[in-house]
Order: sequence, then C-alpha cells, then structure tokens
Amino acid sequence: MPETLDIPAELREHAQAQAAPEQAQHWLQVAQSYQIDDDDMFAAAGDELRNIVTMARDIEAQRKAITAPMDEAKRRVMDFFRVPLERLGQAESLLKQSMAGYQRLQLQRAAEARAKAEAAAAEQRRAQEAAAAEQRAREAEAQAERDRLQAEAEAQMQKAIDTGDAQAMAQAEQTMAAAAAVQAAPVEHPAQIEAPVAAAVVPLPPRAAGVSVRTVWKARVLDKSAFIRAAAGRPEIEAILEVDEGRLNQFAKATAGKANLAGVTFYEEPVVSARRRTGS
Amino acid sequence: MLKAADPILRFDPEAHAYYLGGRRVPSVTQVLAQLEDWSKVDQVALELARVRGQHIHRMVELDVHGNLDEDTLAPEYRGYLRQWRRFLAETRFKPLLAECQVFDERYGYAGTFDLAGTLGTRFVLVDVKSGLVPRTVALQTAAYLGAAVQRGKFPASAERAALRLHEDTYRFFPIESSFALDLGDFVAALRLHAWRERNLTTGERNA
Repeated sequence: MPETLDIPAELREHAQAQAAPEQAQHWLQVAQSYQIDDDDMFAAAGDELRNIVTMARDIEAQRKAITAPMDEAKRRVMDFFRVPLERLGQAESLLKQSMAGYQRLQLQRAAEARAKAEAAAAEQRRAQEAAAAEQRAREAEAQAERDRLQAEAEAQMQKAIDTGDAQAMAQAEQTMAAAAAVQAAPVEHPAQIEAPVAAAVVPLPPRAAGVSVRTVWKARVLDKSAFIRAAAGRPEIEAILEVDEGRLNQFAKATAGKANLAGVTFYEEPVVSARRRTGS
Repeated sequence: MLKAADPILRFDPEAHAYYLGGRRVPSVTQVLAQLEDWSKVDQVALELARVRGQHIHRMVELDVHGNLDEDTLAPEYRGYLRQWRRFLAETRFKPLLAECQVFDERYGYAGTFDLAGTLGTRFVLVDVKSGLVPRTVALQTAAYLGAAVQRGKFPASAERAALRLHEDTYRFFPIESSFALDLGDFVAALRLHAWRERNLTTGERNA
C-alpha cells in the first residue's frame, strides 16, 4: 500500500515535483520485484539502478530549486537576527559568569572558613587528647599510690588485729585515710574553641529576583585510558562511552582490516555504485 | 589472718550460748530475734534455710583461710561459692577477719561476725546472708562493730554492709544509716530482751 503524502502549499505551483512520490513508489516496486539469479538479471538490475540514480538526482535537483530561495530567505532573516541575538547571548553569558563567579567566591570563602574551623577543631582535639592522656597518666600514678597506701593500711590493720595494738589500729586508719585522699592533680584542659561547627556551615547562595542560582555536578575526563579501563565490565559506565563508528571505519579502511584490535572485527562489505544516465 | 577468740569469752556451740566471765550473755542474734516475726514462715523451710546459712558461712570462712577443699563441697553450694568468689574478684574486697567472736562488756552481749576487711580505701564489716536481708541487719552490724571496736578488733570508722549470696548472683548492700543511732537501737533492744528475760516466762516469750 503506497504511502499518501500531503502536498505542501509551497509545491502547488510545481506539478513535476508533485509527481515525485508516485515515481519513487514505482521505482521502489521495481527494485522489490527484482530477484538477481543470473548475469542477465544482474545486467538488467544495473540498468534499473542507473535509472533510479538518475531519477533521484532529478528529484533532488527539483527540491533544491524550490528550497534554495527559501534557504536564502532564511539565511537573510537569520543574518538579520544573528547580531542582536549574539549580543543578547553575550550579555546573558557575561552576567551569568559574573554571578557564578561571585557564587564560586562565596563557596570558596565558606570552604576556607570550614577548613580553618576544622583545623582549629583538630588542633583542639589533639590538645584535649594530650590533656586526657596526661590525666590518665596522673590517674594511674595516683591509683598506684592509693594501692600502695591501701596495702600498707591493710598490713597495719592486720597487725593491730593480731596484737590488739590500738595505736597500730589508729595508724592503719590514718594510712587508709591518706590512701582515700590521694587524688590525681587535674590537668588544665585547653579552652573550648568557639563553635567551630557553625563556621563550617556553607552559606546559602545569594538571591536575585527571578534568577535562580544553583550548583550542578559535572565531570571531566582527566585520563582517558584510565577511564576506559574503569568502564570495562560496568555496563552503566560503558553506556557513557560512545564508539565513533565513522572514524572506526576510516581506521579499518586505512589498515585494510589488518589491525588487531580487541573487541573489534574488521570485515569487507561490497559497495555497488552507479553512474547516472547522461542527457536525461 | 586471725580467727579471734577472746580469752575471757567462752562459746558453747551445742547450746549456741556465750559466757562472759562465767556469766551467760545474750547473743546479737538472740536479741534481734524478738524484733522478727518468723511465726508465719514454714518451720521446716526455716530450719532448712538456717542449716544452709550455717554451711555457707562455714564455706566462706574456710575459703577466706584458704582451707576449703572444694571436692568435699556439696553440689548445691557450688553456685554460692562461685558467687562469693565473683564478689571478691569484682569488688576486690580483702578479708582481714572471718567468723570473729566479739563481746561488749559495757552492755553485756556477744556474737560472731562474718567478715571484716577492706573495700578499696575503706574498712568494712560485712554480714553474709544466704536468704533475705532483714531490716535488723543495720542493728546487727552495729552491734558487731560496737563490740569489735571495744575489743580493738576493728576501727570505729569502719563502714557496714550486708552481702547476699544466691546460687546464681550476689548483691552487696552498703548500710548507710548512722552507726551510733543503730547501736543505740540495738542497746534498746538488748534492754528489752533483758526485761523479757526477767519478767516473762519461757512460754510468754515464745508466744
């Protein structure tokens, strides 16, 4: 069933052009009817191929004859608007760059403030850890002294119990009281740095009426080889890579299929070309 | 380690009676018995608990002195032994005295306290319980400590506590109340006991 095409208003005055779909349909049916199984049919097909090529060139010439003035008119209109649009584009770009630059600066300042606050906090943590270590050392020392005095008090008490010596018992109590009184001298802890967390909060981007400013994540390939290796075997990343088949075919042609490239096969494909008929 | 027995105090284990210079004096347990009402408790169960308590006290005493032969310990007491040793390990309590007989000549009473030792930097007198810890334990430990202080066995600054041993757990109860007040209450109970001894017949006292 041939496809029915609407005739555009621009072709109403071009009767020959209006016949193009029908002619093309005819030649399509001719091509479909061919079954090349001997030299005669091959020769006949070549003949038809030249007719088809000639017809295609003719129709293309008609198309260009009609669209060339349109293209020219469009070019002039485009030229007319190009300059003001370019200037407006420049203006937009300038302001966007300036605004984005300002925002980058703000973010950079915030990042610097955050880094500074984090460094101060890290320094404070180090100081506090050192103070805590010193405190632990003092506690251990005090505990050792307490243990020593406690053992001494226990020995004194045992002796007092065994001998009924009231003075020895009083001495044991004094020694035990001294053990209980042993306290580690407190280590002076470094002063608390003022709210380092608050300084690390990223400020909201500045606002301008009707203009939204946001940040988007982007990526830039720094090492193509490393990226290709990283993509291998990961379908979601492989989908990002696109093979330039045109250039790959050029490579195949240049190497006459002799190159050895993993994952790529080189093959020959027959190409038929036909000259158009002259004088038609 | 001393298992103290003062030369002028005599204890008759058969009659569970203390004699001070030939005169029988009440024990701390006897004095406090009038404050407890065990009449509603099954007497067989009460007797079993008493025997169990005696065995556990003996087990603790032998263990403190390093004389406990675990192979001879009845299986039903092994859990108590584990809990006793767990208490020692976890609290680092160091016994200085175990099952120590003491008496108070001023007030005229005697008794045997279970343990005295150190707990950290404190001297503590501990009464071991294998059942409930009665409210009278504050008076009981005050009486023991009062007698121990008088006999130069333990200092007045010592604290008091009860240790409850069960087969699968232990609990340590520090006694926070005032030693002087608790001892005063015990002396009051002692006077009441003496009055009852003087004025009531045996039947009346047991009623």
